[in-house]
Amino acid sequence: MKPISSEHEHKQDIATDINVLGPGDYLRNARLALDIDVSKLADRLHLTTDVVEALERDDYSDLTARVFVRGYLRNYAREVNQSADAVLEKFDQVWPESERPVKVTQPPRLASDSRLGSRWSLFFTWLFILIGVGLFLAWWQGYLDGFLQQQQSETPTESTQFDAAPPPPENANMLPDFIQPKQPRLVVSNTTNSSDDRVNQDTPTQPDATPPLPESAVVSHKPDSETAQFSTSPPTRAATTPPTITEEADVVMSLRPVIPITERSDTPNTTQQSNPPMMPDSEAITMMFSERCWVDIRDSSRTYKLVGEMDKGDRRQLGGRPPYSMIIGNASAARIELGGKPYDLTQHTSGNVARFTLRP
Amino acid sequence: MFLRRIRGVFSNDLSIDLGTANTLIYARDQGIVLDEPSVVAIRHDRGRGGNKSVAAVGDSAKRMLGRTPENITAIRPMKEGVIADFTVTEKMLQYFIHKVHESRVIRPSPRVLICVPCGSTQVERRAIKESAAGAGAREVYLIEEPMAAAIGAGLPVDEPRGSMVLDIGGGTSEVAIISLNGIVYSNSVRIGGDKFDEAIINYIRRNYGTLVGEATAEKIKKKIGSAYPSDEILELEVKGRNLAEGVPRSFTLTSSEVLEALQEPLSGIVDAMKKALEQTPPELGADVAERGIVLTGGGALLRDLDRLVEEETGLPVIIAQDPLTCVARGGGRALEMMDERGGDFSVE
Repeated sequence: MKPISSEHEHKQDIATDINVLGPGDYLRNARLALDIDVSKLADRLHLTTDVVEALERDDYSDLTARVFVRGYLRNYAREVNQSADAVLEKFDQVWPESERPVKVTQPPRLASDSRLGSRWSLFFTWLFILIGVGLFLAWWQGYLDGFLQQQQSETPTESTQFDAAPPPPENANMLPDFIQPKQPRLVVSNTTNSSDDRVNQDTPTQPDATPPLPESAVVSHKPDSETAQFSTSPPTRAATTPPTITEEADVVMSLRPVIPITERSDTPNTTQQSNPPMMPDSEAITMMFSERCWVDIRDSSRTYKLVGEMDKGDRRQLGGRPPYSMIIGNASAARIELGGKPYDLTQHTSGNVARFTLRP
Repeated sequence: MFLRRIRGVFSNDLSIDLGTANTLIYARDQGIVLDEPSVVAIRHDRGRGGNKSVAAVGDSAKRMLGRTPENITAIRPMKEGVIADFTVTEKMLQYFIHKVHESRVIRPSPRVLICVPCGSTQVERRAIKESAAGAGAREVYLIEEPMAAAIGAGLPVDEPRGSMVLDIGGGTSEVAIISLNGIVYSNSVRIGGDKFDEAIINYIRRNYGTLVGEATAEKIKKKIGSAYPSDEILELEVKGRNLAEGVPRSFTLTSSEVLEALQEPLSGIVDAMKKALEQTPPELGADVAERGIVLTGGGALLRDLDRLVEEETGLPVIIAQDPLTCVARGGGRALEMMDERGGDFSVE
């Protein structure tokens, strides 16, 4: 028996060799050091001599699977009293695990096999997800539009109904005296063609039940024909009287329908340039409502729109540029006058809702 | 079903080695992502008709084994490779599947391949399948453990040559001869790591008059357990309750004693192997004799088990690399191959 120190040194030598030699050479050296015959070792390992010699040559070409070679080397190392870990570590470098993956041949498939179906189902799953996302985005877009419309409708009626109109007074008490209900009204008219022309638009609409406003009750100055179109009073009443101060009592006025459309311009030419061309007075479109109606009216340029609920007795003259896209709810209670002539709504009415395009 | 498909897009395919002792999960493209004991601790609410709830699963539950108060029971829902408690197994699987998807916002619904003993009955397989489906799996495939073990070990299962594999798990030992992607012969015996522990407990009680628990027996098996006589004798100090005195006592156990204790279960496994070799067709038997037998499973880690099988069969015996995870890895590989090349290993 060798002394412990010399055996240790011998193992050290072999251990150094493993870094230089392959696992086969390393094990052969260990076997020779123990003076074990190849055939004897093969018997102990239950392998053939050829396999052992192949292992010692590091020739794994005839050995089919890595797992077997690894196992043989492990058993070999154990038989020659060497560390199996060092040998296997070296072997893993020589034959990495991923080099020869396990192969699986495709077995014959039956017609009923559903491999293709599973791919289709995956495709449809993705399709449904995409459709779902698309529908959600569409709904969200619609929701946002509705939300914005609702926000707009919650603001004062006048400002939403007439985009071009200036914001109306928020408090009726702050309104000028001449539009206070049941108050005598003084309207100053000016017939001169001064540059500081001002169109007074404050003539209220009246409910149908109330008697028509006397001509003398409204005195509006009409400096030229162009300003007439801004009047919300009966459009045909373009006053040509000289400036007077008219006092009128017992004029019932409603605050809500008062939509002052006041255009101020320094010169008539400027007014002509800054405003879109308006309809001549003879083609003015007036809408009157005998009951509560809902309207959605937009002009061709989309800059003018009248959207919202109209109360009983409301009267509107349309601005903007024709033709108008109109939707009128409760159409039987709405009346349109086109240049003073009534327009037949029944031809466009379906289910008491009129949808049509008005081309004056 | 449709929602499960959508959730499945956000889930990993899983291969689950639902073992008696441990459950391992292999996730596609990730490797082994979970290795925990198949133990569930159940809490019983106090009062009549109190509800049961899961107190712990896996490692934390195993630490409770034998140390629980009255209202908590730590149980192993798998016995001998099959489901012993359906509901608890379902909860355990649900917990494990969620654990490997814990970073996901959407509840996982993966495709799952589960390894089952080849000796399990149709009823037992159906129970496993339904349990996995109840735990949230979108699709459930079953594969026989020896086939998964062979693929995981790297055996050339596709070749027209016989490959023999012995998988020693916690509850069962499976032996199979595989050729051309199929199992030519298989046998399953309900002997595994649990029987080894049981044999050690019985040996100590019989020879030392001392009672030790399962955890202690498992520790003895791992530290000084041996399947073949060796010149090197290992010793371990063991503590248990002396049956005569009723108080804890300690004593020293040697590896040769453990070897003696394990003789009965080991001989059962060897007999199963010999029977398999007898039943193997001659051509395949010759292939096995030339190349050898591959050992997988936790039982393969028992010291010198390969030598025992080698001596008993006269054939080369090889311990697979990382034998504990062979089945789970093989299942995962089978799942990948089923998708890539249409190879179908699943069983009903």
